[in-house]
Amino acid sequence: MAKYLTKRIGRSLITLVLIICVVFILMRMMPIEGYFQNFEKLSDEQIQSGLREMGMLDPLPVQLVHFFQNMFKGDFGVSHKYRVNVAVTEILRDKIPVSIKLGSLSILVSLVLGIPLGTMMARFKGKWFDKFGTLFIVFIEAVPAVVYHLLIQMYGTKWLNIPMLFDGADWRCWILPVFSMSLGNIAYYGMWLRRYMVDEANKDYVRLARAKGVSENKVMFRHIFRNAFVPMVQYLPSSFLNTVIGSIYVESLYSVPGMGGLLVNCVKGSDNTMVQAIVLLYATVGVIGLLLGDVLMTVLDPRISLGGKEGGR
Amino acid sequence: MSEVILSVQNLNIKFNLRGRVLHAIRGIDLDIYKGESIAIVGESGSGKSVFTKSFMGLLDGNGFISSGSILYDGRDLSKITRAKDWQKIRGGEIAMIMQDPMTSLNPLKTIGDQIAEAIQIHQPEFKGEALKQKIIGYLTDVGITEPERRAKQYPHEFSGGMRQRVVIAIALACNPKILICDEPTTALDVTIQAQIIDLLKDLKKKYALTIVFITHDLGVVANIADRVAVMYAGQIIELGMANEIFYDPRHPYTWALLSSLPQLGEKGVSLYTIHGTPPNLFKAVVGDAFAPRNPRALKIDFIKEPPCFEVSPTHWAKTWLLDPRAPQVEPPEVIKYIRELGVKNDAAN
Repeated sequence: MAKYLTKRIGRSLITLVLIICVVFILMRMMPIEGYFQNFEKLSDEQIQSGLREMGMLDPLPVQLVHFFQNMFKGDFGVSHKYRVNVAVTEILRDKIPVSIKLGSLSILVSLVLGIPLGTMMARFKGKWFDKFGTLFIVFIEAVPAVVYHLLIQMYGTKWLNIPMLFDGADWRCWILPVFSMSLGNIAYYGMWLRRYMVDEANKDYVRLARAKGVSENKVMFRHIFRNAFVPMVQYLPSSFLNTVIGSIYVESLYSVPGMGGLLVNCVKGSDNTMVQAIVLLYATVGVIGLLLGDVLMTVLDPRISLGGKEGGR
Repeated sequence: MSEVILSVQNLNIKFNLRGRVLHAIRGIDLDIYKGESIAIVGESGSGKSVFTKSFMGLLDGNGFISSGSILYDGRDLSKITRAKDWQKIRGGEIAMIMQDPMTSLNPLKTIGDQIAEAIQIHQPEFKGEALKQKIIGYLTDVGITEPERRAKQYPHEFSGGMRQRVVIAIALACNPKILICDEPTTALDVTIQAQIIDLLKDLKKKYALTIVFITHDLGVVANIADRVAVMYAGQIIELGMANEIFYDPRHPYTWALLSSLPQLGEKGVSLYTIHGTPPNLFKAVVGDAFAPRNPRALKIDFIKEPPCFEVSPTHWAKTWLLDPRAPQVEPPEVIKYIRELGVKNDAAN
């Protein structure tokens, strides 16, 4: 396990370095407007001297080495468009915790509601609960998220008497964004858990468990649920990641000061240093997510041996 | 072999399939005696598994007992509807071993845990160290070496034959009186089959079990069974002591079944096969269900269902050939040959 982990982490690091290099090189191909606040008004000499100052006229490998050196010092440069001359790290420092808090809460809610939904649907397959659940899932999956997000905001704020403007210190303000963000995941977890559980329920070991005299509830939770949860677990870290990144709409709807939409804004504004840092951040979270997913699966399923003679997965 | 442990009377089982009704078990009467091993043989789809599953309330959701009774220990199992009541019967009174050991163990639990689960339900008096010893005891009984180490392992660390031993250990851990073995050797290779059969014979003695053996392997039957019930199209068509069925079969279907044994085939002659297919059980069967496939069928076979004719106190068959009014029908050559073998055997004993 330790051997596998070091190997796996090593590989993840290589992946990250490659991602950084590719993004860095791509960024050098972007128009240079992104480095100046008032590009149109500047003369050629001013632009050239500005670029020299930033080290943009050095050969590419030298620039890359500089970037890595600065990165290890925790310096990702300054924003040129989004908030002029403010350090990228400073901008992100305020936003990351908000998004992570929102994302974590939403994943927590999704699990707390999605797992029982899927389990109960599988337990009462074909009964009214299953049909009701299917209706809910089809609704969430088929109707564009914008529609129910808007409805929830419109009626939710009114009924619960919550201020329209987001205030991080007021816990009530978190309810609706978290709930809106959870709906998709609840449906997703419910749908897949039900499916995997129905699959498992038809297996021989479940029949044997029943033939042993194990009660139906225990068969469901001790045998079927655990086996059905293994394939789900692999995707949990990635779905956490998607939730953190993918909350653009909900965050802007409730004007949550998180990271949602930041990447898109910075790409649009050609704020190259910001894009670099944000992509690096997402890539790191993504790689860690995949790693965690695999490790979690090994913990739950003894059949998967990481490393060892078979070479793992 | 005197006391009846389980008595099935005129059992009918039906399945609802897409709005149609399939009559899977068509009136079975069978007494199972304490301590015997009875084999139920028949081709795929004859209802062997469905019949025994009904003893444990394990019929699929669309299956139901339409009439008849299954008497066990003073109660009628066919009347049980509450899951809670079934849980007492399942395992504790009647346990089951399934066909495919590769899939019948939970892959995520150690085999020790899976045996413990059965003990905790049916023998809750064993706890802590005693429970551990009990698990090791069962593993030793089914012939697993180093039981202490093996108990901590997961099913994927066992071979097929070893897994079937574990499944048997789980069944034993329920402390049952009747053990239903649903084709326990079909998925195993021949050498392992013999070991498992021997193991079951030993365990039957040690734990005073009554064994119901479902199989289509007549070799296995000859090895383990005291009595044999031959099933066809949801009915038992012939029942007798093992030697009666093997050396003196009376029903044309039993003849056909024995004739198709490759061991009795002659070099250069094609193996015997039974032509046609079993009847469609969605429709009502008229007369003898086997008649359309039976080259020796009488006219009445197509009109009226035969009753059970007694051959000896322990042997009966459901065929019009045994009616005193029936014409003398010669059985196939192979059957005459094995009858002679039987006579010789008797003379030798």
